[in-house]
Amino acid sequence: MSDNNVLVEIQDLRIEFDVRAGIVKAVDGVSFDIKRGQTLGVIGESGCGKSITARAILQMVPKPGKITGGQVLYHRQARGATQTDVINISKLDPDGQLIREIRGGEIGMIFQEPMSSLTPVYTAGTHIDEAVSLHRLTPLRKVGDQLAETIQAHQKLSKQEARQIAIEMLRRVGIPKPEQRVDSYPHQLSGGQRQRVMIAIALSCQPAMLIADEPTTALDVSIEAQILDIMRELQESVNMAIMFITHNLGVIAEMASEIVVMYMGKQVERAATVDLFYEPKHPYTRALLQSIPKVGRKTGVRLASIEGMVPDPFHLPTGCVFHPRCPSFMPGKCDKIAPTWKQLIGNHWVSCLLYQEV
Amino acid sequence: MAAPTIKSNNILLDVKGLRKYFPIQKGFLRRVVGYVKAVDDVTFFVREGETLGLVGESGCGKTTAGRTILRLYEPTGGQVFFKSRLLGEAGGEKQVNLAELDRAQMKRIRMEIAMIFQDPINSLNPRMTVSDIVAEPMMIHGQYRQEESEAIIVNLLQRVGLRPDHLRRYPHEFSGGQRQRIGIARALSLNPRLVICDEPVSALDVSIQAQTLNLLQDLQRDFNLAYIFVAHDLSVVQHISNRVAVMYVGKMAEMADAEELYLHPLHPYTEALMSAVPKADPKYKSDRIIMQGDVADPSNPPSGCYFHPRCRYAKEICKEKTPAFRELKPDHFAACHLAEELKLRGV
Repeated sequence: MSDNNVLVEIQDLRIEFDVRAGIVKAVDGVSFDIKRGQTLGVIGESGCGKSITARAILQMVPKPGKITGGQVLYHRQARGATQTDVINISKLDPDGQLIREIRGGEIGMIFQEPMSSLTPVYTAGTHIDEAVSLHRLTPLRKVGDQLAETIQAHQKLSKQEARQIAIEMLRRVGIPKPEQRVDSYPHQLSGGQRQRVMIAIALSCQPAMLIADEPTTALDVSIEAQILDIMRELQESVNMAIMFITHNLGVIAEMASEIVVMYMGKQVERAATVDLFYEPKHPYTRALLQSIPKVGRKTGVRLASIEGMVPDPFHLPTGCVFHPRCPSFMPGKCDKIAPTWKQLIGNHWVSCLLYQEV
Repeated sequence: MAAPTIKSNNILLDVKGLRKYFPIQKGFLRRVVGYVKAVDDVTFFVREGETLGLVGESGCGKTTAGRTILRLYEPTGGQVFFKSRLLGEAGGEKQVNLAELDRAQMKRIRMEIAMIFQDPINSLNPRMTVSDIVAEPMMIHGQYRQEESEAIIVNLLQRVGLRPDHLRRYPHEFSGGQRQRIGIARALSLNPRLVICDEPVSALDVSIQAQTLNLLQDLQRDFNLAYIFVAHDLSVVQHISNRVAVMYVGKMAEMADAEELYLHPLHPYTEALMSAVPKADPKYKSDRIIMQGDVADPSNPPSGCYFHPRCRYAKEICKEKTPAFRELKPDHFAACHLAEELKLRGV
């Protein structure tokens, strides 16, 4: 057994979209682990493949996307058991029974846009009830109730019980007057409250992992702060892993213990959060860090911006995909040779020819 | 430090007690049962060539304030004084109250005050080419002269970083950042003095956001533009603004020089808002002030100071009296009863 702390292993994942104009390699050789109880951050600009990678973990790659290589391994641990089964998610039938149990039940997901992720014709409570009764799980309970959990684990909950859980969950995510709010429809809730309902749904089944795809991008900073606090608090209380996808470097610095940086479907760098922020190796990571304005004392300097634009996915540059925008571009090397994924020191990985002998 | 680009104390736009109430109608007869006070007694000013950042949580009325200045919404009350060149006598300037102008005069003012919108996809007509889009303001205002204007358009597009061969293309052929550049070129086509930028970079990726902010700053220097920069991203606002105004539920909370406001806030709302900004530094130990609850409902606001239910310093007086927006230090305004006694921390 290598490391029984690993929950999800992504190995050399490749996802292609075969569209009329050609083939887009949305994800091109991405590998990383997500460990139990920890937060992995994934950052990158729009179109870099971060959301598609997350969807592959749930076997929900939208058509016409296809997993063409690699695999997603899920180390499933039954409740109360010490042994883990390894499930190859990428081999599962996307409509099959097993993946449907995992989806929502063991790996929850919250999305960026809380308005369109909730059904307008259901109340907040119905949404949570649905998740709970689908997965027939017992509610989050206090320590003393842990015993009862195993007994109830396989029995379907009654409507009243599910409603109680819904109210309890709404209270835990900080919605005022949950007994009333449970009967509210999404349009009656504010953006921050809707996102809390999403979190409540995702967490109502005590998932082992939560995929948070830009959960606070649409929210104000004050509400964002509340939501991040709730996520951290709940993570500690149930030892849940989080895959946190964002393009906000401030949020990721606060939430993640390890970060993967993606660019055009490839991972360019991976390191512990402190190392990535203090000693970024890849020129893209460096440029990203320099291009954000910082609050506090005004320096009056211009922002360092990355020249040019994200390339057209149908005509990717040769060699390293970042070379046309790279400040450390080495002619004759970067435009000819594709860099490989290489370990630098400790747990710091980078894909850049600056660190390779060629 | 005030940025060195400001040469004068010339106030270009002076907004006094601006109000915009939207009626709430109910029933078959559409009776008015109440008002959403989207902008309620807002006072601020913009100097020539400077950037005023306008921040606040969503629904605080910052966008409505920007639009009401341009009379895209009819103001319910208040005055908007603007130093106009076009309405002045032969090259001179004349201070006019935008809230009182008639249609024809207002149309001329819209040559001097332009707008850039948040959503670069929906604010460009998909059936018009780039050159038509940039030329349209000139056509509307009767400023279009075939060859001369085409040269101006080519020049403008180059200035915002697009190529002349982009002229005949349609908006869908461009990325988000490029579309925003088209929107900027359109706003500048009539050589305005004031540009109201409504969340111009919030739909853009980090690297494109930096490019766009730099572009806006370059254009400001070259054309001596004043900006009202409406945004919710506080670090972006601090970066680009000379002064910053903070709004809360339709009212002004605080206004000061950007650095002063961020380092020495005088309003508890500003303090809490600043502390909530996530810092891009994993070693930074966050001690943020979590504001409880949501933004107050502008159709049914709390009594007294609108912020008191979420304010950790609130006292009896805050529930009873609406605080006045007053100048506490030179050029530093705040609306808080307790501003003198509180020791607030900045970022």
